Amino acid sequence: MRKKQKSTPIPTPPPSPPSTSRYILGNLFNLLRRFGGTIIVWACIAFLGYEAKEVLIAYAGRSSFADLTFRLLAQVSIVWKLSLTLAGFSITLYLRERNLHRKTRERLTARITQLELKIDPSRTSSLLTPEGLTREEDQ
Amino acid sequence: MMGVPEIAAFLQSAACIVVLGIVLLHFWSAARLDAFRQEMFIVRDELFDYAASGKIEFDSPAYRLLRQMMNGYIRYGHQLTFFQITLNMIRIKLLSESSQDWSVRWERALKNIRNNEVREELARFHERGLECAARRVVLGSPFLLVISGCGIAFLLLRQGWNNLARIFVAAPTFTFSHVFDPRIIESEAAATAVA
Repeated sequence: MRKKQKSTPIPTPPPSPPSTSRYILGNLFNLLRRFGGTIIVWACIAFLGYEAKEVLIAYAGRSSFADLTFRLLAQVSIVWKLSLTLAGFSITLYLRERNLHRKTRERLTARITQLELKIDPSRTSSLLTPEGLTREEDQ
Repeated sequence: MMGVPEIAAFLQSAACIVVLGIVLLHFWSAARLDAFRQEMFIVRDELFDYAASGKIEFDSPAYRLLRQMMNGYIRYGHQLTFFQITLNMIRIKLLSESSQDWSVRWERALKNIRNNEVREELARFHERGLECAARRVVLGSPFLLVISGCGIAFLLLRQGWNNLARIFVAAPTFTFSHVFDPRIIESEAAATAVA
């Protein structure tokens, strides 16, 4: 009986390295993707800080600091105080709920994974942390 | 000359902008990301249950490809924004990278399924995954929200008032599919899941 001939896989050539311009462009886009948003936010904060500085310079030397603080506090409206208090409470509640969710996820994830692996041993994962957060290396 | 009331108004406004900025840029975006991942996990879990019911094999290429795409979306959901996708698309166009591997393999795998019912169900899972991604991208971008408004108007003209609820559900996917090429985004998502 003739033995079946084993087919030898054709070796695939290793991918050629990208050209310098492609390499630079690719990295530039990766950097923009990663830090673009942060740069925009900090630019806005810097602009606000600059505007605030201009206002304070315009008022400097015309009134004492204590006097100015007292008069400024007197101008703060009750609506503003209430809004800020409400916002503070809402954020605190949100953070508390978020932490509870994370703890629940962390508690249940391992068990679900184990059970699913029994049914599908080749199960693939999303590779998030047990709390369901992005891993640092994926940021 | 600026008086105390003006300075007080300025400081109050500045404080409000800072608080609003923190809420929108940090808490709101984190909550949206969690919600997106939660929705995608639901679809992925239902897909798992569907396979566990015996209607499709776990090692079927269509099942594995769908799961791979969903894993990629979940893992890199934080990068699924208008800004990031636009930069990605520009990069792909500039560097003329071909990036539709996943779509080609998915269409082939779907064609190879003989049972019509299973094929339709898997296509529905795929559509739901795409809907989740489209909602995340479109509802997180003011620019795309405006375009989506135009999309709603267009769909209203085409389909009439009877399907209003359906139109609002379909609008993000409609906008997303017309602004970007979903095949490229899905292939990128799947590729990141493998890496």
